[in-house]
Amino acid sequence: MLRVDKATFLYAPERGVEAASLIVDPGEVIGVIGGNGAGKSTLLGLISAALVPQSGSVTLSLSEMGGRTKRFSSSFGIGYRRQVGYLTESAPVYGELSVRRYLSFRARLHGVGVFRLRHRLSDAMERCGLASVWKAPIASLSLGLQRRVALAEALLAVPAVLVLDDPFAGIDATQRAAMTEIIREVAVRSHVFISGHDPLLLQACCTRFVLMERGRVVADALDVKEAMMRLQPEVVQKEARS
Amino acid sequence: MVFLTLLKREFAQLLCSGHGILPVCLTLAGANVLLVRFLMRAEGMAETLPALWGLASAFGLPFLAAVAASRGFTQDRETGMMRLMFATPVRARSWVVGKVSAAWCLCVLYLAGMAVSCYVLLRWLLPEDVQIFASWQGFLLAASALLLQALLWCCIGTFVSLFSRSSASTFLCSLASCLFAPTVVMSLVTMLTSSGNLQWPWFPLQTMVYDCACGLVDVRVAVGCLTVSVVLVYASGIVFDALRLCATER
Repeated sequence: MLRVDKATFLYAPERGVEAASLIVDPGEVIGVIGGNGAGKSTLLGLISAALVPQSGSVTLSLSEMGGRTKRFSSSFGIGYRRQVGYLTESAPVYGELSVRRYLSFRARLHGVGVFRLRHRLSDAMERCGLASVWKAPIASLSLGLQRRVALAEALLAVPAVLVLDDPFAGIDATQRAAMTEIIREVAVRSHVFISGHDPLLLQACCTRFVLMERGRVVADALDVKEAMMRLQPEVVQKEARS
Repeated sequence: MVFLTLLKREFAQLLCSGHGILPVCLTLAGANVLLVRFLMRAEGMAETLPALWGLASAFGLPFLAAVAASRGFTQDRETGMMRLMFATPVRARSWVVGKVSAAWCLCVLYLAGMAVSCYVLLRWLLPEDVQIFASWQGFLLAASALLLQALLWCCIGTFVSLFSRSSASTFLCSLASCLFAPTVVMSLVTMLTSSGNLQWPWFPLQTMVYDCACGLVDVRVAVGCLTVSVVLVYASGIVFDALRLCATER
């Protein structure tokens, strides 16, 4: 079980995330929705351990990514980070490397041993449909395929927590469907978080929605209709009228 | 293990980028021109070849180290890779050491190139009647001093790259630090600690290489270089963690 307990991270007053609390069971796919600047990416940053909470904590079973203390050290949260797969909003990759070499590099950083490396790589590439382009330099691939490479990287560590920050941005419907399928497969044993602006895009893979406004979790356990009502009431009303 | 993975990756990326082979070639060309001029002036004087070689190499080294190290974290910041690095289960110090050693390896490549070109110059290009004194010991001492300095410059460049938003500003800041910081720091220390009128040369570390090659090894400078490098690596690790705590990866 993953527990976010009053996690706070403020860049400036009223900018960031304040006292966010969530409890997520394995197998759940949480859609984190909200407008621009609502704090979605910051919340996902906290869950992925890219950010360290200023107060509160993020706990996964026994690994805690707790609030900062006076004894903060560089190795803090490494155990937790080993269990996280993270796809950032910009999905950065090293374009000059081939798909296989890039994934191999990232897998090594995640502590995947030499003996498991080959299996993990082929598994991740097969899942993400990259088996045919494994030799190609990443820069030569389309944006959708580059996103898939970033997704494959997030899956390399067989993550207990998979964090996907706006994964469907800039990709077409076909790629989106393929990505949704992958997320569903992974979600069987992981805690998955996906952020986005449109609940309709996320509904195919999310089991529940969390709505964020001005850095706060204002509603939890919403279904897609409730999420739409809260986020885009005009659209729902227009549809009801028509 | 992680360190080796990072070193391999960073060095390969450095070589492929505009901060790799091209600057090495340009610096080699400049340093060789300098070496030839030194050799022409040295005719009939008591200069030794290792000292001239060391001096010529020492003037190119800060430029190359500044170029190589300026990529450092600035590149990752520009491509948005920093947030992914924060979420990776790798210690800050490993990132720093990986980047410093990649830049240092490029400097080693440059010194190897200088050694080869010096051999070619002596073997085929220098007139046979020219006599110039050379010893392996002198070369070894000069190379050691240069490698130590390269480490210092790379540490300075990597440290600066943590703060800077563009490679160009990182390059300029680290080059200025490489060239003038030793003189300023040493002069300040002298002013604060002794009452004598000790004058430091403009380029004390380059002069140190020349002295080393002549057999005048100043252990204090060598220890100073090493200590400052270790302190900078440690400080860079702390700054990286501080960036993560403040989330200023952009």
